[in-house]
Amino acid sequence: MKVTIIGSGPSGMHFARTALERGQAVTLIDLGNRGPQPPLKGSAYAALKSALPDPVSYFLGDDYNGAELPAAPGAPPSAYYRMPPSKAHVFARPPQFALTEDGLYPLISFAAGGLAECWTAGAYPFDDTDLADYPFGHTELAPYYAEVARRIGVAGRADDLSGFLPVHGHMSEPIALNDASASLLTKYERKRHRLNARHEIRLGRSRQAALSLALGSRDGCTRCGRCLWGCPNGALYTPAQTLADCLADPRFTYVPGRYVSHFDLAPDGQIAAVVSHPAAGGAAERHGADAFVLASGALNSSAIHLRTIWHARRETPRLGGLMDNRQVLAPFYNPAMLGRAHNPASYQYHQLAVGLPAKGRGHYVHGQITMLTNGSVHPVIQQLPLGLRTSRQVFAALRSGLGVLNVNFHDTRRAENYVALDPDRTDATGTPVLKLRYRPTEDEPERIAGAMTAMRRFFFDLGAPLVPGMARIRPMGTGVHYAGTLPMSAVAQEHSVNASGQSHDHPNLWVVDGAALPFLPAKNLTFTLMALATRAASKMF
Amino acid sequence: MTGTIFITGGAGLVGTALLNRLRQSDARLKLLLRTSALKAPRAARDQVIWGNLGDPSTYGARLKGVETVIHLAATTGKAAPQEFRRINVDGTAELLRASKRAGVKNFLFVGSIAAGYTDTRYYAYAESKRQAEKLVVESGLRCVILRPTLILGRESSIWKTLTKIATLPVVPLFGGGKVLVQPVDVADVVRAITTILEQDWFAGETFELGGKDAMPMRAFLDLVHRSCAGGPARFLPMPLKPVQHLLALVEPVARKFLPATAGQLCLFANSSASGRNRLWEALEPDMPTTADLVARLSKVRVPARPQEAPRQPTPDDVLTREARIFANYICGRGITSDISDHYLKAARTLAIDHQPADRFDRMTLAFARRGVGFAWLADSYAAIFNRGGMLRRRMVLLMSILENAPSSHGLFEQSPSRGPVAAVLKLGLSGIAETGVLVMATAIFVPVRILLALSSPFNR
Ligand SMILES: Cc1cc2nc3c(=O)[nH]c(=O)nc-3n(C[C@H](O)[C@H](O)[C@H](O)COP(=O)(O)OP(=O)(O)OC[C@H]3O[C@@H](n4cnc5c(N)ncnc54)[C@H](O)[C@@H]3O)c2cc1C
Ligand SMILES: NC(=O)c1ccc[n+]([C@@H]2O[C@H](COP(=O)([O-])OP(=O)(O)OC[C@H]3O[C@@H](n4cnc5c(N)ncnc54)[C@H](OP(=O)(O)O)[C@@H]3O)[C@@H](O)[C@H]2O)c1
Ligand code: SF4
Repeated sequence: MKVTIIGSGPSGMHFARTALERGQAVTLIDLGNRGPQPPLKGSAYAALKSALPDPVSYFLGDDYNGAELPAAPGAPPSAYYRMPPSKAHVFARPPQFALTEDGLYPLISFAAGGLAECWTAGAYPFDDTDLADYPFGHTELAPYYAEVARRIGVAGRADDLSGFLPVHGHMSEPIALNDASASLLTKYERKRHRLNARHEIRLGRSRQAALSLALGSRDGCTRCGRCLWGCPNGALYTPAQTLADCLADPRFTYVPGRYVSHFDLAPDGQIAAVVSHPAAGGAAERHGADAFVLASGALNSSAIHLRTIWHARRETPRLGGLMDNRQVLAPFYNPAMLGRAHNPASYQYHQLAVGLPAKGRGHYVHGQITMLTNGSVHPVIQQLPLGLRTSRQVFAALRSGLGVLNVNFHDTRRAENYVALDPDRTDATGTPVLKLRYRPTEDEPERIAGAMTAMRRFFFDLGAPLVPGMARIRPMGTGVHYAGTLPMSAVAQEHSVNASGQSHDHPNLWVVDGAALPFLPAKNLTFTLMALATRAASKMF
Repeated sequence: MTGTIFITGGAGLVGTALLNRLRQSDARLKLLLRTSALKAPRAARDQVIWGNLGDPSTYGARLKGVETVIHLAATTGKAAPQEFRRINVDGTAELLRASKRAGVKNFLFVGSIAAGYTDTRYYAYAESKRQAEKLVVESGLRCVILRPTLILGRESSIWKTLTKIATLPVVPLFGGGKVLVQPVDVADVVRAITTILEQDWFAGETFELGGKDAMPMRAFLDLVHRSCAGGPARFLPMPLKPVQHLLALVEPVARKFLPATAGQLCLFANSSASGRNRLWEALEPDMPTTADLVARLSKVRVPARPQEAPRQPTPDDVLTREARIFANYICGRGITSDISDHYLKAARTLAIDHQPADRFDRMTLAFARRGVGFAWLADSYAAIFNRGGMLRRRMVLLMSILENAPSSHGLFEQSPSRGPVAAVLKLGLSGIAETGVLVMATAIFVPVRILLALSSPFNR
């Protein structure tokens, strides 16, 4: 069978790898932007600032976009994520692409490896509660989680969080904790009985797709603190690594540099070919295959699906059910670290996590704890209501104990949140552009307040209180876990797929990214996307 | 003037001018200089003693054969109270002892009009000068005390500070500005010293020495404003005592960065007019009026050459200078050229290199550019009341560069291990200093904001 996949993100790559392992020939079409190799492999974060010829350009960019300035009065709020210049390619958009946003401001990637070239590697398996609206439970997914963990290295431990985070096969030893996280975990372990008696929240090690020990050609983490700018050692998993593995397989054909517009349909509703243009612009080209796999990220897969309908019938339906995780950021301070030096030798992302269990119809709330080990400090320093000189000193004194709790909330599919084509705006080829619309539920403020109160009390009793008045609800889109627009459905209705991702609209099409999720738990979804893609390919071949 | 003269403080304002004059006489000069004055111009004939007033072993033996000591050296400006005591009082006592031991005949001490101030709360300098005078008079040597008022000269730091303050868009005026001042030309201080030497006036007298005319502080600042900036000054009345208390509170940690100390503000609390005496009367006919003196100095500041128009600072000059001051404020150190280059380029790329349209923004930026203390005041205010203003945007931009540049990034990474108690103490001190600066900044900027809001738009 000839299989053509669109997209080289985590979903596409794990589908491809599984298909190759099962003896299939695979073609992967992708826009495939590439970025620079991380420089000076042996240097830690701070050392780069002395060793690079022009560190200011490396860290702030030639356009100085890495500098986070206070917003001028009346100016629109600045971008909610400030990505480092070395990751600019991950978010670069081709000229063909345009978007109308209303209530949700997404990050979109056309990179080789997709959004996860810049992810924070949180890899959390869904449990039966999370999967309640899915056509299967955790037992069905468990072998695929184990398989993905074997491929990419997922680290974690059985601990108090295991009640929410199932322990899966091939879980590896996590990277050593940084000082600040270790201090927090020690506190938790010391007060565990009291905390567990008083609170429902549990704390434990995070689950991370990052290696403490070498695996294949990838080195173990050296705690150099450069994760955000690009791991020079390959310890932090990114899908480009799987792409490199696949490229070594002669049955794998990679076709980068192409922007996929839509599918040509055969009269029977099957897909006949995928229609793409060179990224730089130019004539359309058609690739035929027996089976087609949409793995372009939930939003782009939806767009390709919608453009297919528009080209076939000039219709612009809405795909309801768009979801993303709401995030709340709350800084906290661990006074046990006061007066202790800040130790920069650290893995940069979250090493601890907290979970607030589902109760009644309420869903599980997921929290990730990141310490301020390495990274730009000017965005933090300027937040203090003090002159910058004093702010710098205060920050230096408190830094070793400062952390951020990132609280994530589940989302449900609702008809009023949709993606569609915008009839009022067309791209260069005359096709209407993608439009997103999102509104939170009415009870959201109440849900957030409830969970944050629980978090506040827990962190207070833990001895690392949240900084009062500093918690921030982030705009929709910051979750970067877009899902739900072509969901798994037991009934064969339009704009949906079956339990293996096979489309109910076009029988030779599989949707294996976030679009197919019928419910979005609070946990980061990418580990599940990779497991689902692996499962879909295993069922197919 | 023959014989050997031993001079301390020869590299200072008065000292430099005095040496220029004495080198034309037959006197043999021995100069006590600190190595910090290594680059000061010296004549081949001078005997230089590298030493320190605080340590008599460095110069004691060299007083042999000296006929007259002219003691100018003193800790001046912004220093800690114990430093004033150590150099000005203890140092003078040592010098007197060594002079007596060596058989010095005459001792000329340059004191200060401040020694006669009645309100000297916080003014450790005045107190130290008073005590030193007393030591001199009681030493038993043939002595004389010269008490100059404000000394003006082209290199005088007082003049530089005055022009900075007097040319602000609004000039802070503490306590109404009614006290009298009577500035004296540095050349007349030199004339006073040579007159004393020539007339051998070492009879234990104290001569106060002001210029030709006395005037209220307010009128004097207005005069400086008119000749440096053109047009009358706009004054911002400020209460003197509260500001002094505040400054005194933050001084222990922030002295280096303050535009002025609580003690220095005593200038606004006391009359600095000099009494009449035979020395002043002898010199007065040839003294310039204060207006002439100010006019002369303000011209010296911007030398107008007949052919060439004076070079206006380019926008790049302004940004570079600003980067230097802001960096010094934020991290207490200077910058390398790669940092100022990036600052220029970044400000341009992010389109924040232009003059802000908002008048208050423009004013705070100009204020902050005057120096580190000014930058702190302006930023402290902006951190709360004007976060998105041009000043904050530029400072944060600079900080983002400093954070990544080879020469300064370390400052943003270190967070010392000093134990919880010391850390809390350090935080407390920073907090007190910041609060003090903020209160002062509010006292300055809130009225300015109101003034600007009230004044008509065609003033823009
Ligand atoms: C800062 C950040 C942190 C994150 N942290 C985490 C985390 O800790 N844990 C977690 O689980 N998730 C995290 N994520 C989310 C994670 O990256 C995404 O869920 C994941 O990448 C989605 O994978 P995907 O393969 O479905 O789609 P994508 O990663 O979006 O990949 C899409 C692919 O399709 C290609 N493509 C798209 N449209 C076209 C087209 N029209 N023509 C040709 N090619 C096309 C692109 O080139 C790309 O290769 C994070 C994301 C970001 C940005
Ligand atoms: N300027 C005025 O308006 C004013 C008014 C009234 C009275 N006075 C008095 O007049 C005198 C001269 O004033 P000025 O304006 O010329 O002062 P100045 O410019 O500050 O010079 C002071 C000199 O003293 C030297 N000095 C300081 N501490 C010393 C030490 N420990 N050992 C050796 N030398 C030391 C300095 O040496 P370095 O060069 O190495 O720093 C400097 O050369 C002072 O006594 C001052 O109190 C001045
Ligand atoms: S995972 Fe992060 S800390 Fe570890 S080696 Fe890679 S960049 Fe360095």
